[in-house]
Amino acid sequence: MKKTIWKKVIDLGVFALVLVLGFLYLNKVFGFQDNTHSRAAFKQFYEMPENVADVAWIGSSAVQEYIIPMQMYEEYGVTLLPLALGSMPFDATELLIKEVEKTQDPSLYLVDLRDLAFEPLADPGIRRVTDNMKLSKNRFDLIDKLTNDWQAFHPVGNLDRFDYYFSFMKYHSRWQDLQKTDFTDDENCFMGYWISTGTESFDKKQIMSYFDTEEKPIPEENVVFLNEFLDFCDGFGKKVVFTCTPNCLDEEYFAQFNFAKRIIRERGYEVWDMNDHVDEIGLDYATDFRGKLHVNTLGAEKVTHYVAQQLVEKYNLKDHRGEEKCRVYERYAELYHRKRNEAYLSLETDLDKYLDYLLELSDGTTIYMTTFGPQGAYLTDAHIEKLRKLGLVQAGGLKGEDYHSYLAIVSDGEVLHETIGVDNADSTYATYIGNTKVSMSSASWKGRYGCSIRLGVSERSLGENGINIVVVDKESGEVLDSVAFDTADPAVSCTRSGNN
Amino acid sequence: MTITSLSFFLFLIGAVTVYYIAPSKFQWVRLLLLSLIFYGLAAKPVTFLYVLISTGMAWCVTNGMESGRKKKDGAKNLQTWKFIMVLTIVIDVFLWFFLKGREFITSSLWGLNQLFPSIRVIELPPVAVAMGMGYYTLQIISYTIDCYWENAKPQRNFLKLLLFCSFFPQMITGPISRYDQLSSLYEEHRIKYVNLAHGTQRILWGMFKKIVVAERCGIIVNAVWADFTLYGGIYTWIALLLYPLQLYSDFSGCCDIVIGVAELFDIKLVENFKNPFFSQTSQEFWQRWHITLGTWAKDYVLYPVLKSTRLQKLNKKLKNRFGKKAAKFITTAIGMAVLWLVLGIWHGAFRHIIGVSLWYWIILMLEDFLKPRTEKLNAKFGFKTDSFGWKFFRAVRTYLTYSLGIVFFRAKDVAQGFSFLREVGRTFTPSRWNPWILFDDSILKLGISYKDINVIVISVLALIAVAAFREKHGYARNWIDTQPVLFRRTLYVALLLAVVLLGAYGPGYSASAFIYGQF
Repeated sequence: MKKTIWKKVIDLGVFALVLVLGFLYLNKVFGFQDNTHSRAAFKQFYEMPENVADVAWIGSSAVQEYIIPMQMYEEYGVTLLPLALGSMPFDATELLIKEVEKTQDPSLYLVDLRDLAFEPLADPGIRRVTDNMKLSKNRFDLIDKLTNDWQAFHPVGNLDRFDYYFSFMKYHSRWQDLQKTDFTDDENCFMGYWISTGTESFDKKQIMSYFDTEEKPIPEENVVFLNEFLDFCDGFGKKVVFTCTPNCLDEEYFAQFNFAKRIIRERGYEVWDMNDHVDEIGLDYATDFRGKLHVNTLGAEKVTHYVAQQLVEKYNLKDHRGEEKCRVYERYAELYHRKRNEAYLSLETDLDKYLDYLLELSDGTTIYMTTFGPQGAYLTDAHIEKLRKLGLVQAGGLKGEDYHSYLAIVSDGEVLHETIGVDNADSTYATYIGNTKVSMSSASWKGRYGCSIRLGVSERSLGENGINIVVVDKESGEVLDSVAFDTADPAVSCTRSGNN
Repeated sequence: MTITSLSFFLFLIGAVTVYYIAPSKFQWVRLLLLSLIFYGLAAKPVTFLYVLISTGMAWCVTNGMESGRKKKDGAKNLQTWKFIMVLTIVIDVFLWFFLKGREFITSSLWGLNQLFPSIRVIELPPVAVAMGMGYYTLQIISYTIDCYWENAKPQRNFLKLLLFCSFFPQMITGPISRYDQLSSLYEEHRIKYVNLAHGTQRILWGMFKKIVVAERCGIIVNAVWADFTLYGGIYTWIALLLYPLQLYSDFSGCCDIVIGVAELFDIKLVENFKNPFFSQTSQEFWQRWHITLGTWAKDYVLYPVLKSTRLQKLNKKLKNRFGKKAAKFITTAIGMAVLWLVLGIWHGAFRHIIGVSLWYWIILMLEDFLKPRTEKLNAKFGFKTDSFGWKFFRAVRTYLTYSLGIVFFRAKDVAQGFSFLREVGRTFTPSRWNPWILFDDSILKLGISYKDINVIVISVLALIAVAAFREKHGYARNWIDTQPVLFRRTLYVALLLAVVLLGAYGPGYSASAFIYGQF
């Protein structure tokens, strides 16, 4: 009898354990997810080795989309740890500093003041922070604080903190929207930073005219939160510097920034307004912003370089390059550079620069090339040289007015196949690369059956005039780019699907 | 606190622990305290006064009758107590009318106002109502009458009787138990694995029906009903045919949870549903749907009416005039009319009497009248009445009959009910005929995705499979218990996952109350 009872108890215990583990896994899969990579940003923060960061930067997307920590490390050996998420409520700053202090010991904290000019958002502002934090007392304290603060200033809205404690209650219905990043690591987030390639132009003169505009009060609740935080800083014992990253917002926001800056300075704290240093940073208002609120990757690289330089000069930070515990920065740097090149590869319209990207990405990719019609009238020696660097020794034969068919495959930097047609002959080639069936053809004379790069059952080339290039990630099989450069056109125009 | 909320399940865990952890003597006292705590958390505590009044009256009357019987002039005494008993029942009914029946009074006046404009509609101010008033009132009336009929022994302990009335799982949607069916409330119970397992499984099944199936069907039904001018034609047919499924999943799901909760305490409640959509006739349907209300109405309304002196006399007269069959039919019709009137009133709205009660009274009497004639016709034409096809046809016909009547349960008033039925009828006119909505993604305008539709379809298949199994072999869980442990566990984990992932709960959902919780 006793044995039966014990057997039952053990049986139930095992079952309960399986259920709990299953639930924990589900809780992880069905977590917060949006296009700002906040889940990955927190995950990567928690995975950082202990006591590696000299600087921590807390803020909203005004930090997250501006700072590339890996670049800082590569250029100056600065170990900066961002903990920044889109629309992060300012009143979360204090407890997030506590979260950082659990595993890091930075000597300097940077705190961005951008979101003081905005009305706080309940969801998703709170959720981006609390739903992604590890289970701890600090998390529950943060939920209580943020929901209480919200309720104090928004009595009509009703936030049930229970929903924030158990975020699964909200996200269980995400079964309809699950994606790859719910099950695997987010490959597009690098120490909180994510690549953005969009561009929007702004009138630099006009934006700069807003910098010294007369103050306008920030929202009442943010005044309270700012003063509370300044009270915290008074007793904190570490250096805290407030920042304002470059942006193209309307005049009223700069007026509010000026209001906030004054309060902070009156309390004896330093404010580093980078808007006043845009020329030093080298920001181009025509190409470096992706909207009023954020720079794109080109802009972020410039801001990162500037910030790193300033941090080293002002605060005499140690150069950590080569240290064992900073390997994490090197690992993310490698991943970031690859993804960055892939992102800009698919935007590049200049053949010369495109070939530079191909050279950078040759390891880990398979590059397919085929030609159609008159090819080489405007191929330059520089183009040919770069093609040769890829290993394509016969590419020189394409230069000029003659018609040639041409097929080439370069995989992991190694030329697997290269054919140039003789006397107007067309070329075809078929093979298997890994598990992928490859069929290629190239017509020397326009009007024949055209050119083709077929991978599996899918046609991947554009079949346009000139050189058609398809770039495939070797590991995943994902097509990174399919492009055509018309080398018979004086401008060597570029075509991608969707912009014919 | 609803019985699908996390707070209820936390309460339940605590309740089961408290129930079993202490010595089993006076367990019923702990159960009563738990019921009072539940009441305090789920309803306005002051309204428990009504429960106390009804219970107090029943306790006094039944014990008075018992001691009256034992006295010398027992018969005379009993007459007095019978009068008092009737008075207490009248007070119970009055209380119900005063509190729950307000809407009935207002909607009845409104309905009559449509027919006779001179009748004024009086809006009665709202009052706080006792939780489960419709259910415990019928329970206490059945107890009182059973004691009078000597079918049950009066409970001497007032608190035990209070527990019978207020046993917390039943307070939401019943079932309506008889006194002898709940005698186990006062016994001692030891913790048994099988009760905990079966109870939990039953709760899980109920949750699946309510928050996975019913809530999803509700999205479509509510969208169509919110604007069936815009969503006319085939949309109305979709809502018409989906509403019974929603209602069944909601109500029977709640009953499953209630029965499962009671099972955790080793209390067996009666079943309230038995695969109603497998019914071949409407009569059979009402023997399978809300069984406890049906049997209550049969035992305490229909049979007393049929056995009443007046109706017996009428039966005799009619027999002499029209023959035995006709007399039986007419007297049954009268008895059934009273039964359906009472059921309509119990549901608390005028539209229930006009729509649901009247409709089913007509259907049931028609069925009764046509039964011998249709049997002859079937035999004459050689229909294979034993075949699956024939039974399927009859089940579909019964379902459709139910769907049409239950429109008035869904409608906010009689006029809207008829308006909806008119739209249903107009579907086959050129201006409303719109079958393309089934193919061109129009259905997604109702606020539902194809994934949700797939969930409904798969869930319905699961419900049918379980129901078919029960029809032939009894409860599926008994068969599952005989299977290897890995199979059992996988099945229940799959059910748990379905509830946890697919259920309509949490922020972003306004979880609708149980439809039958309003009674």
